[in-house]
Amino acid sequence: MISLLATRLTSVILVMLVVSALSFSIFNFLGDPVNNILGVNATLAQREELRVALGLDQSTFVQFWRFVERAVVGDFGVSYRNRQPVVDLILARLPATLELVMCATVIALAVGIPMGVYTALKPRGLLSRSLQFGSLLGISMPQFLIGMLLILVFSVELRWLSAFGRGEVVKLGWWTTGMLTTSGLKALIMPTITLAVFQVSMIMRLVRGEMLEVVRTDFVKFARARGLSDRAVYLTHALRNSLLPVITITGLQIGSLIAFAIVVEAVFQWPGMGMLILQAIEFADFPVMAAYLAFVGFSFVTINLIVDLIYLAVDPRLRAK
Amino acid sequence: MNRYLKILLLASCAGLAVSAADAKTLRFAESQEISSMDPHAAREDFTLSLIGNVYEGLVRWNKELKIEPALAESWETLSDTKWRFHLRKGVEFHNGNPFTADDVIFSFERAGSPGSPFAGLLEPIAEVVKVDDHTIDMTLKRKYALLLNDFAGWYILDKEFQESIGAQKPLDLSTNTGGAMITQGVGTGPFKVASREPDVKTVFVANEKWWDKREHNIDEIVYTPIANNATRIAALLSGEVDFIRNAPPQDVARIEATPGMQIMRAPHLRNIFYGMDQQSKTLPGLDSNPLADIRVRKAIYQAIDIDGIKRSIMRDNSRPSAIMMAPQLPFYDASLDVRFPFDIEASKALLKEAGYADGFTLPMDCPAGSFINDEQICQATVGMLAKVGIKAQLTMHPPVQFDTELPAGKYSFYMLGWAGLPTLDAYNIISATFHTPTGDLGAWNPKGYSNARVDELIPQIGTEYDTEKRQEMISEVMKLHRDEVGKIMLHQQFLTWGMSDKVHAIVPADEYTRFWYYTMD
Repeated sequence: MISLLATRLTSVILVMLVVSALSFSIFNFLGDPVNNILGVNATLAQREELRVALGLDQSTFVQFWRFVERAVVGDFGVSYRNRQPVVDLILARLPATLELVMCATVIALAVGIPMGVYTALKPRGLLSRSLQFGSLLGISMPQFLIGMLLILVFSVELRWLSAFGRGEVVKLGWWTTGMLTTSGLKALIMPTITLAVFQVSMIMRLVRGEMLEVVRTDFVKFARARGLSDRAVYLTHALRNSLLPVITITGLQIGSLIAFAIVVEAVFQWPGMGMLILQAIEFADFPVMAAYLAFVGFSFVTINLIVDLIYLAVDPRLRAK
Repeated sequence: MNRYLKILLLASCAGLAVSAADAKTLRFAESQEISSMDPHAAREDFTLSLIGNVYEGLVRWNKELKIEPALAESWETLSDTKWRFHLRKGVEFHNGNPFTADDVIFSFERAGSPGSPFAGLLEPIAEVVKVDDHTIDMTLKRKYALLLNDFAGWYILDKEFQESIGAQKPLDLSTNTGGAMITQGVGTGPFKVASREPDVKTVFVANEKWWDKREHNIDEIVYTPIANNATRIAALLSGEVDFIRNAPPQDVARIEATPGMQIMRAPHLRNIFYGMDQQSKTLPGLDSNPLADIRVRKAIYQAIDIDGIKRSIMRDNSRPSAIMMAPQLPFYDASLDVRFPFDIEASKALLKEAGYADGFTLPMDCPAGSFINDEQICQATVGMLAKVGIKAQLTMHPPVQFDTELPAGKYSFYMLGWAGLPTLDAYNIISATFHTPTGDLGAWNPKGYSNARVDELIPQIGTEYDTEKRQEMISEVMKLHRDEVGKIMLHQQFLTWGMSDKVHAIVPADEYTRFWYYTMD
């Protein structure tokens, strides 16, 4: 257990280093933020002066080394675009994204697992078939299209929901939440659905496939032979054994949801991390980009670690080893 | 008891509803975000246009883009290089502090300090001296004709307020001094900053104590950045916002067709053109530089069907132009604004004469998203050039990359647009895009057009006070540049602003949102 944690922590640091090194090597091709700050009327001399002040005249390696030096003590610099310390900026945007991702994940699990179980147990039913078909759509539809369709129906035509933003948010310490106000909850609906559609479909198909496998195994037959009720056989024994891959995938998906909520956030002007990185790329806001990528690397590795720990809890065989 | 309470509550709610209906709130959305509330921290037109409602300069542009007195009531020249400004009396900042000469001097030192983006704008000024509380004298380093134009974009801050929040310097990225101005600011303008959450929402309220006569009836402006075009249009169509500045051309018809919505059109100052490397001996992939030959440049010019671009790409929201000056600018000379005709045969003949009868391969670079329909215009140009045998190899770039690589001289044939902001004078245009590149001038003319006479006239245009002489010189420069095909001019683009028909806006050619002229039903 402790050795697992130790190896994982080393890999966290390694991953973050590699990711930020990679990000610095692409910055050179992006352009620089000088124009956005000085405007088009600046002379060549003024541009060069700002480049020197920002350290952009240095080689990629020197820039990267300076970044690492400061990052070690938790200083990721000041955003060129927002003129705020990058750490504050990321902390301010994190709640919006996490809230969205958590809502989408909860919905995905709450809807996807029962749907998966149902379609596995009644594979030939009409409902099962339509669910199967629906999930195919859900997996293949691009997120921005779902988002725009929702906006078109619920904002432009029906005018029930707001097309953009988070609504009113309540501050709880450094965390902000939209879950305590009506407008905040309403604002969550469309982005959550957009983000969850793919997850629901995927989890449903995953659970269905696993259940079909598990139901055929011997221990389910024995459970039946013991005279256990259908409910106990399917929900306690079969489902529990089908959940291992679901946990892995859901965990990994949370990581990519945080990283790739970009599309949904862009469509709904959701003030989260995805929006932040998009704007940073447009502005060539290197401090934000470097810190964001390092953060995403960090969350991926951490989530993997948590998934491994949950494994231990769910599968007794792993603990024995 | 309970019932009375309910009635009371209902009554007060009704009262609130009535007063809310009376208050005029303008909900405004654009794709960009205001960079900060600091008017000296970035020279970025969108931010300056919005916070120009909060801060004022010594002078300002009016509805017709003429200079009028603002914080300075009047001014006179004591000599060619010494100006006296009489400041307006009885003006208060939003925090109640009186506006005095000290604030002007403070704002000069702040915006002009080394490292400030405005240092270049205020560079011609040697010193500012206080004569009394409401009079200042400015000494210039040299004659400079555009002092007032530049002053319209230099906003005055309250010295005491800036000191109280520790923002005596414009935002400095290495130390982040003045970070306090991200969310707050105090000016003298028609609107006050009420609240601001970066990237989410900024609220301005009317300044009841504004010194000028209030023409507008807006009580509150709520600004929301919405980056995605489709979402922004949806927000407008669903009535969640009242006003967006730039409606994408493909959505214009849809907005106009929606009941209760309107599009306001006006010419923009910006002229779009192709710039060319005319100095290099060879172009990438060639053993010569065809663009150095005026016949080739003219051939490319005459191969472009500008009316076709206007009709099918711009949907009539453009005006083909021959000189790089919008008619809305002073010193515009209409007699010069005559294009070489679109003529494929003439173009082919010119290429043959220049020794390129079989054409050549031309690297071409365009920004994706800097100008209206930039991508489509460039693609159409590739097709048009192919008809005269020139194989243009088009590369599209994100604006931030384009704006870095272009001044660095990495492109041979590129699209660019120039408006002349914020000076609103030919000098701004020609010093940046006509002058042979030096450390100070010609920053956006890398390896480009170069003419000794033009280079000689440009500094004179910057210093000449006499309008007749200025007109003569500007016309001469424009004519030389046009006849020598210094650039391949395309068109002046039009602004299309979408809004609810409750909003009565003005659409000035410089694209600034001057809300003090707006009214709402």
